[in-house]
Amino acid sequence: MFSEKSVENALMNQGLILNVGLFSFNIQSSIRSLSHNVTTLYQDYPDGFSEDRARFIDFHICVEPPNLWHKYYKGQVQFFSDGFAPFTPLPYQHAPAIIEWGMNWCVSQLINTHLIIHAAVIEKNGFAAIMPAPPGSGKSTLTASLVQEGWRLLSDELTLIRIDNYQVSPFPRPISLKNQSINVIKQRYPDVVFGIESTDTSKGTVVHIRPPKLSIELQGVECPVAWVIFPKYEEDAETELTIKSKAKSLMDVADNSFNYSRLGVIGFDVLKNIIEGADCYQFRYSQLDEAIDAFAALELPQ
Amino acid sequence: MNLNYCLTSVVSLAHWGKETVIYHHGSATTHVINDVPSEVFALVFSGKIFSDRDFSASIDKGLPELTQQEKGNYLSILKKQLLVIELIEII
Repeated sequence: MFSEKSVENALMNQGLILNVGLFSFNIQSSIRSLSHNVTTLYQDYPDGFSEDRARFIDFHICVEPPNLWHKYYKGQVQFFSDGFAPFTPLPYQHAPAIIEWGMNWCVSQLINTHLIIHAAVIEKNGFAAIMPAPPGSGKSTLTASLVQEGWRLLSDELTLIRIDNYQVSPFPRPISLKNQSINVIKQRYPDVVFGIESTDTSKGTVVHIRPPKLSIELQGVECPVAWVIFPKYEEDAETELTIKSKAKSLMDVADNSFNYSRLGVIGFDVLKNIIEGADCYQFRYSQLDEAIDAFAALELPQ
Repeated sequence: MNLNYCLTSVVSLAHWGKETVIYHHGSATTHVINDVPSEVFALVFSGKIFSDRDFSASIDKGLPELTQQEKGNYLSILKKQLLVIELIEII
C-alpha cells in the first residue's frame, strides 16, 4: 500500500513510474486530482511506486497546462508524450480521463512489436477472446462485467498481438465506462472501485474502474487467441451468437487495427494466423446475464 | 481480342472455403474475393503472364456447370473486379 501523498510527491517531482504489461510509464503532473485518481486506480500494480529509476522507461508523459494563458484563463490542461502534444488542450477537470487516453495513444501510435487492435481482450482457461468494436457497442460494459465473472482482463481498449508468436500480451489498465454504463456496473458490482468522473467530455461522462487484482498479478502471462467476437449492444435484442465468416472477420479486425497498414505484410500474416485458429462470431445482446452465460458456454479449442 | 494480363505485385493469400483474402504487397491493400474457383486463382496468382484464352480455359475447368454465356459474363465481371482493385493489369 502507498499513500496518496507519496504519489502526489512523485507526480510533482521526478515522476511516478507505472509498469503496465510490457511497458513502463513515467508520469508527471502538478494536478492534484490526478494523484487521487492514480492512487485509486493503480493501487495494485507492481513496482509502480518504487524508486526503480534504473529501469528503461518506454514513455515519459505528463499532463499540465501548456502555458499560463491556458492555466489561468482557459482552465485547460494538455497531454504530452516526450514533449509532444498529440491532443488539443482540454478542460482541467478532464485530467483523469486525459491521462488514460494519453497512455492509450502512446501504445497505439508508437509500438510496432505487436499488431494493435482497438478491441477488448479477456482470457479464461488459458485462451483469449478478442472483442473488436467501435465506440457505443457496449464493449466496455460487457468487458467490465465479464472480468467480474471470472474472466481475466488483458485489456479493455488495446489488444496487443505479438508479431513473432501471435500470442496476446496483456496490457491490463483501468476499464473506461461511459454514461449509462457507469450506473449499470455500479449497481451490478458494488465492490468495484471507481476513479474520478470526468463530465462533459467529447464522449460524455467518463470514469475508469480499477482492474481486478488477479489480472494485474498475471500481466506477464501471454495467451493464444481462441475467439474473435464482435459485440453489439442493442436495446431489447435477443442474445445471439452467430458465426461470422473468417474473411469478413479478418477485414473487420484490420479495420479496427491501429498499425495493420504500418506493419504491411507482417500485419496480414499475424491476422491470418489469428483468424485461422480462432472461432469468429457476431454477438448481439441486451441482457448482461445472458451475455455472461453465452461467453461461459464458448467451446474451448480442441 | 485476346489481351494479356499479369499480376501487378506479389500477393499473400488466405483461403477459407469459398472466400479468399488477398494482401497486395505493392499497394499494401487487403481485398476479399468470394466464390472464385481454385483453377482460376491458380492461373491469376501463378505469377506468369496469362491471356483471355487462358482465363476462359481456367473457368471452363473450374466452373464446368455454367453455360458459355454464363462463363463469359463471369469472366467479364471477375476481370473487371481484378482490374479495378489493380490486382492485375493489361500488358
